[in-house]
Amino acid sequence: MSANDKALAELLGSDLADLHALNEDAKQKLVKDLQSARTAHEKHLKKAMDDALGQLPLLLRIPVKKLFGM
Amino acid sequence: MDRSTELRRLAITLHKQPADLGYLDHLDAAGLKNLRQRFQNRLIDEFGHVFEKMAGAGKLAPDALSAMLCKKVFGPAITANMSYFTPVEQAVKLCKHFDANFMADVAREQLPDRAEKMLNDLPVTLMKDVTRLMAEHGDFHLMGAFTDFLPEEKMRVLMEEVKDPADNLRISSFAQRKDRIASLAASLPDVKLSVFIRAAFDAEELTREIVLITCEMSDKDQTRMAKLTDSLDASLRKRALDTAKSMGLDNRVKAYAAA
Repeated sequence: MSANDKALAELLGSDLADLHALNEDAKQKLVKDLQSARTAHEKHLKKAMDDALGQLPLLLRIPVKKLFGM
Repeated sequence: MDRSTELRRLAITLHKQPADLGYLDHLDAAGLKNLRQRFQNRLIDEFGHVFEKMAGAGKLAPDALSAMLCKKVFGPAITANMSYFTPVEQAVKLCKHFDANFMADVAREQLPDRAEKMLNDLPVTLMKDVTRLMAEHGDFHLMGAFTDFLPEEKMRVLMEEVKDPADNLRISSFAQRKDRIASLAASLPDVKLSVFIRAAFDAEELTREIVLITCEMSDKDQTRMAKLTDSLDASLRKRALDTAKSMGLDNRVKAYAAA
């Protein structure tokens, strides 16, 4: 399994048979695009979480974060 | 399954243009769809533990309070992600407390593939304003994807909320279930269907879409499409057939060509 295969398995949750048709250059580009999309998604959700916590009184923010594993 | 539709859907998921994904030329439509769905599901699984806990806590609160928290505190992104872990019956009850603007914002954050049961159970009266708002906002890729999972009788009602026939075609261009679109189109009276046919020739991508829809029609309906097209403008049918040929679909519109 190449480094790209491992990265793709991580990004997709498992090995995807369809991707065996891609050469290493294509796999590398796909890894880059998936990582970039994942980072954008994470940033988007983090902002939503921070905005939500910002609505709460200061003293409640840390307990709520802990309660929901944020 | 149409490859171009899946490529466009994947491109949006990856915040890219379809032309940027040339390195995936070896993947067919099913491969592209599988890749997109696997990635989207992975994101939900990876970040879902928080939303699952929040949704669990929400089950204990009265619907009006939960809905107020969604609108005032959580916002559309968190609400959408919580919806994957909320029983459909409760989610539908919460929607009754949301205004159309908030529901549209939530819909923009949702995975249509995960919304089938909710689309089935949500009253169409709640969906009308949302449909209109999303069309005005240009959310065609999402609306098209939702269309794949929408009961046909609701599609029929909701398409009336999209005033521009070209927008209906843009929405359809992101739907994979062209057979359902074809069935809907075939059920329209001549006057209405002619409006869509006319709009389809205003732009190449819309002509491609009407070709894809026509491919899914019976010979009888293809003949009807041909006659309606001819009644608008004698040159349009040839344009459609040329487009079908360029897409490799000329053998699927034989009745349309022969009419």
